[in-house]
Amino acid sequence: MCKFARSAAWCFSALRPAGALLALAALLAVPIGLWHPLRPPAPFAAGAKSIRPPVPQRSLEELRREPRFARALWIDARPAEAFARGHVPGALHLTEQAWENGLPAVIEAWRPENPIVVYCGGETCATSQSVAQRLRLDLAAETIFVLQGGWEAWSP
Amino acid sequence: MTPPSLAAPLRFRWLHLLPRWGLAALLTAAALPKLADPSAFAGALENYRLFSPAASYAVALLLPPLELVIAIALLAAPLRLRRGAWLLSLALFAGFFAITLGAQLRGLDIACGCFGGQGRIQTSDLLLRACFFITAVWGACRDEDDVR
Repeated sequence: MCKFARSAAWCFSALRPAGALLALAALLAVPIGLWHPLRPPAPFAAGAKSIRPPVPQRSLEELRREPRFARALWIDARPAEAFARGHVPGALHLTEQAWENGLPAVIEAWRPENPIVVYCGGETCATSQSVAQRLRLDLAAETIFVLQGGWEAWSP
Repeated sequence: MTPPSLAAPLRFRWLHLLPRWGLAALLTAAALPKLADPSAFAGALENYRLFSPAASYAVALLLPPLELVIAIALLAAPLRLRRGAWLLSLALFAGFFAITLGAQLRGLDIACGCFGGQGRIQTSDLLLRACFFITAVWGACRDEDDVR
Protein backbone atom coordinates (compact mmCIF):
# COMPACT_ATOMS: atom_id res chain seq x y z
CA MET A 1 0.00 0.00 0.00
CA CYS A 2 1.37 3.47 -0.84
CA LYS A 3 2.28 5.89 1.95
CA PHE A 4 -0.63 8.22 1.21
CA ALA A 5 -3.18 5.41 1.36
CA ARG A 6 -1.63 4.20 4.61
CA SER A 7 -1.82 7.69 6.13
CA ALA A 8 -5.42 8.10 4.99
CA ALA A 9 -6.35 4.72 6.46
CA TRP A 10 -4.60 5.68 9.70
CA CYS A 11 -6.50 8.98 9.89
CA PHE A 12 -9.77 7.20 9.19
CA SER A 13 -9.15 4.62 11.91
CA ALA A 14 -8.22 7.44 14.34
CA LEU A 15 -11.34 9.50 13.71
CA ARG A 16 -13.71 7.56 15.94
CA PRO A 17 -11.41 7.39 18.99
CA ALA A 18 -10.62 11.08 18.46
CA GLY A 19 -14.33 11.81 18.56
CA ALA A 20 -14.66 9.80 21.76
CA LEU A 21 -11.84 11.76 23.41
CA LEU A 22 -13.36 15.04 22.22
CA ALA A 23 -16.73 14.03 23.69
CA LEU A 24 -15.07 13.16 27.00
CA ALA A 25 -13.33 16.56 27.07
CA ALA A 26 -16.63 18.30 26.29
CA LEU A 27 -18.22 16.40 29.18
CA LEU A 28 -15.44 17.57 31.52
CA ALA A 29 -15.83 21.16 30.25
CA VAL A 30 -19.45 21.33 31.48
CA PRO A 31 -18.67 21.45 35.24
CA ILE A 32 -15.88 23.96 34.54
CA GLY A 33 -18.36 26.25 32.79
CA LEU A 34 -20.94 25.83 35.53
CA TRP A 35 -19.01 25.76 38.79
CA HIS A 36 -15.39 26.85 38.36
CA PRO A 37 -14.87 29.90 40.60
CA LEU A 38 -12.82 31.61 37.86
CA ARG A 39 -14.99 30.57 34.90
CA PRO A 40 -15.35 33.16 32.13
CA PRO A 41 -18.72 34.90 32.04
CA ALA A 42 -21.04 33.33 29.45
CA PRO A 43 -21.12 35.59 26.38
CA PHE A 44 -24.59 34.66 25.25
CA ALA A 45 -26.29 37.80 26.53
CA ALA A 46 -27.51 40.09 23.74
CA GLY A 47 -24.78 42.45 22.54
CA ALA A 48 -22.00 40.70 24.43
CA LYS A 49 -18.70 41.97 23.04
CA SER A 50 -16.26 40.42 25.44
CA ILE A 51 -15.91 37.52 27.82
CA ARG A 52 -13.22 39.11 29.93
CA PRO A 53 -14.40 39.72 33.48
CA PRO A 54 -15.35 43.40 33.85
CA VAL A 55 -12.95 45.82 35.51
CA PRO A 56 -14.50 47.13 38.74
CA GLN A 57 -15.97 50.63 38.70
CA ARG A 58 -15.38 53.36 41.30
CA SER A 59 -17.32 56.57 41.71
CA LEU A 60 -15.44 59.87 41.94
CA GLU A 61 -16.41 60.16 45.62
CA GLU A 62 -14.94 56.73 46.38
CA LEU A 63 -11.72 57.63 44.55
CA ARG A 64 -11.37 60.87 46.48
CA ARG A 65 -12.01 59.12 49.81
CA GLU A 66 -9.21 56.57 49.40
CA PRO A 67 -5.71 58.07 49.81
CA ARG A 68 -4.06 55.60 47.41
CA PHE A 69 -5.95 57.16 44.51
CA ALA A 70 -4.06 60.42 45.03
CA ARG A 71 -1.15 58.63 43.30
CA ALA A 72 -3.34 56.99 40.64
CA LEU A 73 -2.38 57.00 36.98
CA TRP A 74 -5.31 58.36 34.99
CA ILE A 75 -5.98 57.05 31.50
CA ASP A 76 -8.28 58.93 29.12
CA ALA A 77 -9.91 56.50 26.66
CA ARG A 78 -11.91 59.13 24.75
CA PRO A 79 -11.14 60.21 21.17
CA ALA A 80 -8.08 62.46 20.70
CA GLU A 81 -10.19 65.59 20.01
CA ALA A 82 -12.09 65.21 23.27
CA PHE A 83 -8.82 64.66 25.12
CA ALA A 84 -7.40 67.82 23.53
CA ARG A 85 -10.42 69.85 24.67
CA GLY A 86 -9.86 68.88 28.29
CA HIS A 87 -8.87 65.98 30.52
CA VAL A 88 -8.13 65.01 34.12
CA PRO A 89 -4.83 66.71 35.11
CA GLY A 90 -1.91 64.37 34.38
CA ALA A 91 -4.07 61.88 32.46
CA LEU A 92 -2.51 59.99 29.54
CA HIS A 93 -4.39 59.38 26.32
CA LEU A 94 -4.82 55.73 25.32
CA THR A 95 -7.35 54.18 22.97
CA GLU A 96 -7.58 50.72 21.42
CA GLN A 97 -7.17 52.25 17.94
CA ALA A 98 -3.87 53.92 18.87
CA TRP A 99 -2.73 51.26 21.35
CA GLU A 100 0.83 50.86 20.10
CA ASN A 101 1.38 54.64 20.09
CA GLY A 102 -0.07 55.28 23.53
CA LEU A 103 1.11 52.27 25.49
CA PRO A 104 4.84 53.15 25.85
CA ALA A 105 3.99 56.40 27.71
CA VAL A 106 1.66 54.48 30.01
CA ILE A 107 4.33 51.87 30.76
CA GLU A 108 6.83 54.63 31.50
CA ALA A 109 4.49 56.54 33.82
CA TRP A 110 2.98 53.57 35.66
CA ARG A 111 4.34 52.30 38.96
CA PRO A 112 2.95 48.85 39.86
CA GLU A 113 2.19 49.96 43.43
CA ASN A 114 -0.10 52.75 42.16
CA PRO A 115 -3.64 52.15 40.90
CA ILE A 116 -4.80 52.95 37.37
CA VAL A 117 -8.10 54.68 36.70
CA VAL A 118 -9.54 54.64 33.18
CA TYR A 119 -12.38 56.86 32.02
CA CYS A 120 -14.27 57.60 28.84
CA GLY A 121 -17.00 60.11 27.95
CA GLY A 122 -19.82 59.25 30.32
CA GLU A 123 -22.07 56.63 31.86
CA THR A 124 -22.94 54.91 28.60
CA CYS A 125 -19.56 54.63 26.85
CA ALA A 126 -17.76 51.27 26.88
CA THR A 127 -14.27 52.22 25.73
CA SER A 128 -12.99 52.68 29.29
CA GLN A 129 -13.94 49.04 30.04
CA SER A 130 -12.23 47.66 26.95
CA VAL A 131 -9.09 49.78 27.48
CA ALA A 132 -8.99 48.84 31.18
CA GLN A 133 -9.43 45.13 30.38
CA ARG A 134 -6.65 45.23 27.85
CA LEU A 135 -4.38 47.17 30.20
CA ARG A 136 -5.07 44.66 32.95
CA LEU A 137 -3.91 41.89 30.66
CA ASP A 138 -0.98 43.68 29.01
CA LEU A 139 0.49 45.20 32.17
CA ALA A 140 -0.72 42.43 34.48
CA ALA A 141 -2.04 45.36 36.55
CA GLU A 142 -4.09 44.21 39.50
CA THR A 143 -5.34 47.55 40.83
CA ILE A 144 -7.13 48.94 37.83
CA PHE A 145 -10.51 50.66 37.91
CA VAL A 146 -13.00 52.40 35.67
CA LEU A 147 -14.36 55.80 36.68
CA GLN A 148 -18.11 55.50 37.02
CA GLY A 149 -19.77 58.20 34.94
CA GLY A 150 -16.53 58.94 33.07
CA TRP A 151 -15.57 62.48 32.07
CA GLU A 152 -19.12 63.71 32.75
CA ALA A 153 -18.69 62.78 36.41
CA TRP A 154 -15.37 64.66 36.58
CA SER A 155 -16.61 67.84 34.93
CA PRO A 156 -20.40 67.91 35.42
CA MET B 1 21.42 -15.61 22.62
CA THR B 2 19.08 -12.90 21.42
CA PRO B 3 19.63 -11.99 17.79
CA PRO B 4 20.98 -8.43 17.51
CA SER B 5 18.20 -7.37 15.11
CA LEU B 6 15.63 -7.98 17.85
CA ALA B 7 17.68 -6.81 20.82
CA ALA B 8 18.34 -3.34 19.43
CA PRO B 9 14.70 -2.23 19.10
CA LEU B 10 13.93 -3.54 22.58
CA ARG B 11 16.92 -1.83 24.14
CA PHE B 12 16.01 1.50 22.55
CA ARG B 13 12.27 1.20 23.00
CA TRP B 14 12.36 3.98 25.62
CA LEU B 15 13.49 6.28 22.79
CA HIS B 16 10.27 5.50 20.96
CA LEU B 17 8.27 6.22 24.10
CA LEU B 18 10.00 9.56 24.59
CA PRO B 19 7.73 11.59 22.26
CA ARG B 20 4.66 10.01 23.86
CA TRP B 21 5.77 10.82 27.39
CA GLY B 22 7.21 14.18 26.42
CA LEU B 23 4.07 15.37 24.64
CA ALA B 24 1.89 14.03 27.45
CA ALA B 25 3.95 16.03 29.97
CA LEU B 26 3.84 19.10 27.73
CA LEU B 27 0.07 18.92 27.29
CA THR B 28 -0.42 18.47 31.04
CA ALA B 29 1.82 21.47 31.74
CA ALA B 30 -0.20 23.49 29.23
CA ALA B 31 -3.58 22.36 30.59
CA LEU B 32 -3.09 22.90 34.33
CA PRO B 33 -2.68 26.72 34.39
CA LYS B 34 -5.58 27.08 31.95
CA LEU B 35 -7.73 24.87 34.17
CA ALA B 36 -6.73 26.92 37.20
CA ASP B 37 -7.88 30.19 35.59
CA PRO B 38 -10.14 29.69 32.54
CA SER B 39 -11.15 33.32 32.68
CA ALA B 40 -7.59 34.57 32.10
CA PHE B 41 -7.20 32.06 29.27
CA ALA B 42 -10.43 33.30 27.68
CA GLY B 43 -9.06 36.85 27.85
CA ALA B 44 -5.80 35.75 26.25
CA LEU B 45 -7.77 34.06 23.45
CA GLU B 46 -9.73 37.23 22.79
CA ASN B 47 -6.49 39.12 22.27
CA TYR B 48 -5.78 37.03 19.17
CA ARG B 49 -8.83 38.71 17.58
CA LEU B 50 -9.71 35.53 15.75
CA PHE B 51 -12.66 34.26 17.73
CA SER B 52 -16.07 35.66 18.55
CA PRO B 53 -16.81 35.95 22.31
CA ALA B 54 -18.89 32.76 22.13
CA ALA B 55 -16.07 30.88 20.37
CA SER B 56 -13.48 32.16 22.86
CA TYR B 57 -15.75 31.02 25.67
CA ALA B 58 -16.16 27.56 24.17
CA VAL B 59 -12.43 27.15 23.44
CA ALA B 60 -11.48 28.41 26.92
CA LEU B 61 -13.70 25.75 28.49
CA LEU B 62 -12.97 22.89 26.09
CA LEU B 63 -9.24 23.14 25.36
CA PRO B 64 -7.81 22.57 28.88
CA PRO B 65 -9.75 19.32 29.53
CA LEU B 66 -9.02 18.23 25.96
CA GLU B 67 -5.27 18.70 26.48
CA LEU B 68 -5.51 16.73 29.70
CA VAL B 69 -7.56 13.92 28.13
CA ILE B 70 -5.08 13.65 25.24
CA ALA B 71 -2.17 13.54 27.69
CA ILE B 72 -3.77 10.74 29.71
CA ALA B 73 -4.68 8.81 26.56
CA LEU B 74 -1.11 9.12 25.23
CA LEU B 75 0.22 7.75 28.50
CA ALA B 76 -2.22 5.03 29.38
CA ALA B 77 -4.73 4.22 26.65
CA PRO B 78 -4.62 1.19 24.31
CA LEU B 79 -3.34 1.78 20.76
CA ARG B 80 -6.78 2.25 19.20
CA LEU B 81 -7.65 5.12 21.54
CA ARG B 82 -4.09 6.41 21.35
CA ARG B 83 -4.50 6.86 17.61
CA GLY B 84 -7.29 9.29 18.36
CA ALA B 85 -5.04 11.09 20.83
CA TRP B 86 -2.28 11.35 18.22
CA LEU B 87 -4.71 12.68 15.63
CA LEU B 88 -6.06 15.28 18.07
CA SER B 89 -2.58 16.34 19.17
CA LEU B 90 -1.52 16.72 15.51
CA ALA B 91 -4.57 18.89 14.89
CA LEU B 92 -3.89 20.92 18.05
CA PHE B 93 -0.22 21.56 17.28
CA ALA B 94 -1.02 22.46 13.67
CA GLY B 95 -3.70 24.84 14.94
CA PHE B 96 -1.35 26.40 17.51
CA PHE B 97 1.26 26.91 14.80
CA ALA B 98 -1.23 28.55 12.44
CA ILE B 99 -2.62 30.84 15.16
CA THR B 100 0.86 31.89 16.32
CA LEU B 101 1.94 32.52 12.73
CA GLY B 102 -1.19 34.60 12.15
CA ALA B 103 -0.49 36.69 15.26
CA GLN B 104 3.12 37.23 14.13
CA LEU B 105 2.10 38.23 10.62
CA ARG B 106 -0.44 40.72 11.95
CA GLY B 107 2.21 42.17 14.27
CA LEU B 108 0.16 41.52 17.41
CA ASP B 109 2.08 42.21 20.59
CA ILE B 110 0.09 39.96 22.88
CA ALA B 111 0.60 37.40 25.62
CA CYS B 112 0.70 33.86 24.26
CA GLY B 113 -1.61 32.36 26.89
CA CYS B 114 0.00 29.00 26.16
CA PHE B 115 1.29 27.90 29.56
CA GLY B 116 -0.62 30.41 31.64
CA GLY B 117 2.21 32.96 31.61
CA GLN B 118 2.26 36.55 30.40
CA GLY B 119 5.18 36.03 27.96
CA ARG B 120 4.77 37.78 24.60
CA ILE B 121 4.63 35.81 21.37
CA GLN B 122 8.04 35.60 19.71
CA THR B 123 9.47 34.00 16.61
CA SER B 124 10.95 31.25 18.77
CA ASP B 125 7.38 30.26 19.71
CA LEU B 126 6.74 29.42 16.06
CA LEU B 127 9.77 27.15 15.95
CA LEU B 128 8.67 25.48 19.16
CA ARG B 129 5.23 24.78 17.78
CA ALA B 130 6.72 23.36 14.60
CA CYS B 131 8.93 21.12 16.76
CA PHE B 132 5.90 19.93 18.75
CA PHE B 133 4.10 19.06 15.51
CA ILE B 134 7.09 17.16 14.10
CA THR B 135 7.49 15.33 17.42
CA ALA B 136 3.82 14.33 17.29
CA VAL B 137 4.21 13.00 13.72
CA TRP B 138 7.29 11.05 14.75
CA GLY B 139 5.61 9.74 17.88
CA ALA B 140 2.51 8.60 16.00
CA CYS B 141 4.63 6.74 13.39
CA ARG B 142 6.83 5.11 16.04
CA ASP B 143 3.81 4.09 18.08
CA GLU B 144 2.33 2.23 15.08
CA ASP B 145 5.67 0.60 14.21
CA ASP B 146 6.19 -0.61 17.77
CA VAL B 147 2.87 -2.41 17.80
CA ARG B 148 3.34 -3.98 14.36
